[in-house]
Parts: sequence; C-alpha cells; structure tokens
Amino acid sequence: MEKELKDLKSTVRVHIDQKVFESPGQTTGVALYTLGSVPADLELFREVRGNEEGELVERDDETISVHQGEHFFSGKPKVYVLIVNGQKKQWPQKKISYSQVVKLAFPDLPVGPTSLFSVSFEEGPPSNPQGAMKEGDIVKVKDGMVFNVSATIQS
Amino acid sequence: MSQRLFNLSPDLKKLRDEGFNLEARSGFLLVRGVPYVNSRREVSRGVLIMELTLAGDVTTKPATHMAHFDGDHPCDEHGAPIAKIRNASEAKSLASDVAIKHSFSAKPQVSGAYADYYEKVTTYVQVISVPALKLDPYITARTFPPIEPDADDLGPFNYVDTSSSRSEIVPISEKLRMSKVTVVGLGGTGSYVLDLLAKTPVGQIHLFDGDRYLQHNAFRSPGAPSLEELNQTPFKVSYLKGIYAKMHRGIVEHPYYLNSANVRELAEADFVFLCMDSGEAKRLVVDSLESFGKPFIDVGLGVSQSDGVLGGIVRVTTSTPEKRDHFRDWVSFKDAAKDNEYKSNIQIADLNCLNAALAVIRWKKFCGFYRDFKAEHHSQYTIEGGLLIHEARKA
Repeated sequence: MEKELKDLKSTVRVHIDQKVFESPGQTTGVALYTLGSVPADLELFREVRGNEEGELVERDDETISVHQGEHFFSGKPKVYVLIVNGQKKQWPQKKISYSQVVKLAFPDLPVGPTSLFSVSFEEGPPSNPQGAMKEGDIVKVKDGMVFNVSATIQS
Repeated sequence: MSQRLFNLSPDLKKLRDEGFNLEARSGFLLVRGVPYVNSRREVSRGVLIMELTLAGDVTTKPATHMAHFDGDHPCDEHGAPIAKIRNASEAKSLASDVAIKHSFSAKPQVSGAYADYYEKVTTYVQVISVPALKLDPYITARTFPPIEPDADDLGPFNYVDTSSSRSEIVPISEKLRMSKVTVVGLGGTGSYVLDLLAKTPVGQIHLFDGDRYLQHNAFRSPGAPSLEELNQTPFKVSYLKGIYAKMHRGIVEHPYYLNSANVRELAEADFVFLCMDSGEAKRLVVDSLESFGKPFIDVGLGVSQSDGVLGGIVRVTTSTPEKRDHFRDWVSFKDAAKDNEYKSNIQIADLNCLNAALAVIRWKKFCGFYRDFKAEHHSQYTIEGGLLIHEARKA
C-alpha cells in the first residue's frame, strides 16, 4: 500500500534499454518514448515475467502506470500474421482499416472507392472478436485474425 | 367440396391431416380408397360411406353407429366376409349421387356410440383393412390426396396449402398475405427467391428481367429444365412462370429491364426483392424505391479462388421507410463489369439458394411471421468460418 501511494505521488526509477530514468508514476506512452529517446521506427515494450515478447506500450496519450524498478526495452514493431481470404499476410500495426484489409486481399486493385466489397473478420482480440467492416471502420488486430473480403454483387 | 366443413370440424380436420381421402356429399361423408380383401382373397379399395350429423357448418356426435360400403363385401384374409360388421347387402342409392352396396353395424362395445367421426371412421377402416394389411403390409387408407380449393375461394394457390393447416400455422401464415411482391432479377438468387415466394399466400408475384434462360442458368436455379426447354431460349421470367404458375395463380412476368421510363411500375409493390447486378440500373431502382417509400431487400454474393479452394461472402441488406441510412454503407452501385481484376462471376447454386433463403426469412420477419430479436438490416454469411454477422440493428 505504501509503495503504491509512493508511486502515485512521486517519481519512480525505471530502466529503458538498460539505462536508468526517473518517470512520474502516472505517465503516458508518448512521454516514455520521449524519455527513452526511442527512435521513430521502433516500439517500446514493458518486460513482463513469463512473456518473452513483452507487453507493447502504445506511443499515445493514454495514461499508463509505471512502477519502481520496471524494465522497458525498445525493439522492432511486432508484425502480426493475418489470414486474409485464406492467405497469410504480414501486418506491422496494431490496427487495420477497411480499405487496408481490401488492399491486402486484392493488392492490384486501383485506388478508389471500394464499397463493392463486404469484409468480415473473426478470431480477433477481445475488443473486437468478430464482425463486419465498412468504409471507414478500423479494428484492432491479433495474430491469426481471419478476414474475408468479397465483392458481394453477384445474384 | 366444402373446405369450411373440414377446417372447422376438428374430427374431420384430424382425419384429413392424417391423409384420409374425404368428401362430403349430399349429407354423407365418403372415405375413399379404403383397402380391403374380397372373397377371392384379392386386395382392393372401396368407399366407406356414413351419414353426416351436422349442427350448422360443423359435425356433432354421429347419430348412428351404422356405416355403408361401395365395393365387394370386405372379407378376412381367407376370403370369408367379416362377420362382426356384417349387416345387410343391398345395392341402393342413399342420395342421387351416393350409391352403396353393403351396410355395416359395428357398435362400440363400451360406450355404445361413437364420440365423433374420427373415432367412427378409424374404427371402421381398422376392421375393414386389417386383413388387407396381412396380404400387403404397406397398404393404407391414408393416401394424402391433393385437395382443391372450393370454387368460391379466391386464394392464390391452385391447390390448398395443407402444409400450413397440418402444422396449425394458418393464422400466422396469413401475415404473409401481401398483395404484391416484386422480384427484380431472376438469376440464380432471384429464381430461388421465387421458388420460396410461390409457396406463400402473397396475392401476386411480379418478375422483372430482360434476360433469356440459358444453359448455364440451369445449374443455379431450382428444378431442372429439359434439353427441349433449353433449346427454346425462353425469357427467364417466362420459363420460371411456367414452373411456378402450376402452384401459384398470381405470377406476372415482365420480360424487360427496368429503366427510367418504366421504373414507376415498382410503385405498386408492397415489397421488393432486388436480385440484380450492381450498376447504374441498380442505383436507379434503389433511388426510386426510396422515393416511392417501399421496403426492399438487396442481395449479393461474392466468391473468389485461392490455392484451388473457393471462399466468399453472402450478403442480405434490408431497407425500410423507417431505416435507410445504413444502406449505402454496405451496398455499392459501382459497375463491376468494368473492373476485371477482382470481379469473379463464380456463383454456385447452394450459395444462391442460401442467399435467397436468408432474404425470404428476413422478409418474413418484416411481416411478423418470424420472431425478430435484432431487427438487423444487414447480414453477412462468411463461407470459410460459417459465421453469420448482423449489422445495422434498428435502435
């Protein structure tokens, strides 16, 4: 209890890429990235016991907690493997949009309105496990997420 | 034949639901096709006849336990007349159109009288037919003969929908009685939609399509054309009307495409199924249906190949005067014919059939026939995972 109160009120000592820094107990991803001078093309991961890959710290303004003695390390962004129309595709971001899914399915498509396509997904993360996508929709991804893309215009 | 008598008398309705061949004539009930064994030990069929005791339009307790027969005297399996029912054998007319040859008496032993016509008919049929069953175990009086509507019944079918009456859903089926349902596009999905609509009591089914029915169409429409029928290259709407008019009296063919000059013909419909290709004609139809204030369902499916295996999505999108804003989020008017990289014209009969079934089920929810929990206005079925997703739920 005492330790947590201390964390909330004041700064804590954390390790980023083996260097020591002082950070507020309540901070943001952006602040941590800046603190550790993480290059633009890398991502920051929080060491988690039992998880070799570490937990991704998003480079955004959402409030996160850091604790005394925690370790962070930077590394190449995680590339997710998505299955689109039965084919494995690599995707380096945590989120994907409707048009990006359509482009993954049909890479040779000319740029333009694509609402001819129906998109459905399943095996997604808890925030969006399954559903349909329309123009403008964005979903979070996870390894092994399944997408189907079809121009549903035949009858 | 009075359908009213048979529908309103529970004992007669039960007999008919079980498949007995019944007729009411001149105050008598005739049960045709009753199997029996004659004195030459041959299996034959006769007519069981009994007077009908009515109160108004419905049956009451039979006044007598007697019955009559038109045929040879029923015998046991050895050819000896069945003694326990034998009463008199005199050929006579009970009415100008009711002739008999034998009379029977089988009084119920315990109660002394039959409670209703179900008990009376089944008891007599049982006694008469048991010997016949010993010679032919599969024979039965329950032959399910086709039932024609009364001459004054102006319903949409050429024969009575006994499927609904047997399963006791006639009042619910009445909810489907729209005057006019239109199907635009009679390709794979449209033809299956027609197949399903023809079995419902809608007043008229209007078919719009300027295409001819060709050989490849045979492989994704219900039923099967003959080579001769294919050789005639009929209009799709004419070929399909030819099949379904056998059952439904209200099918109207429009062997032409919809355009700005004739799209007003859709203004009379109560509901429209859009089963047409994407493109400017579809945009015109959708814009027009919205301005006419019509409810409609749009269907579409897409199949693509990868690694020698097919996958795809089947879609149903609904638009009603109460909810239209979602429609253009999910349906495109882009002319697919112009872009070949991703367009595939693969259509498979089972997918056309599924697309039609999903669309008709959604229409029936609109009618209040099926319970509707989600009021979804857009649904996608993904073949690969079997997932059916619903979107655009009514608030």
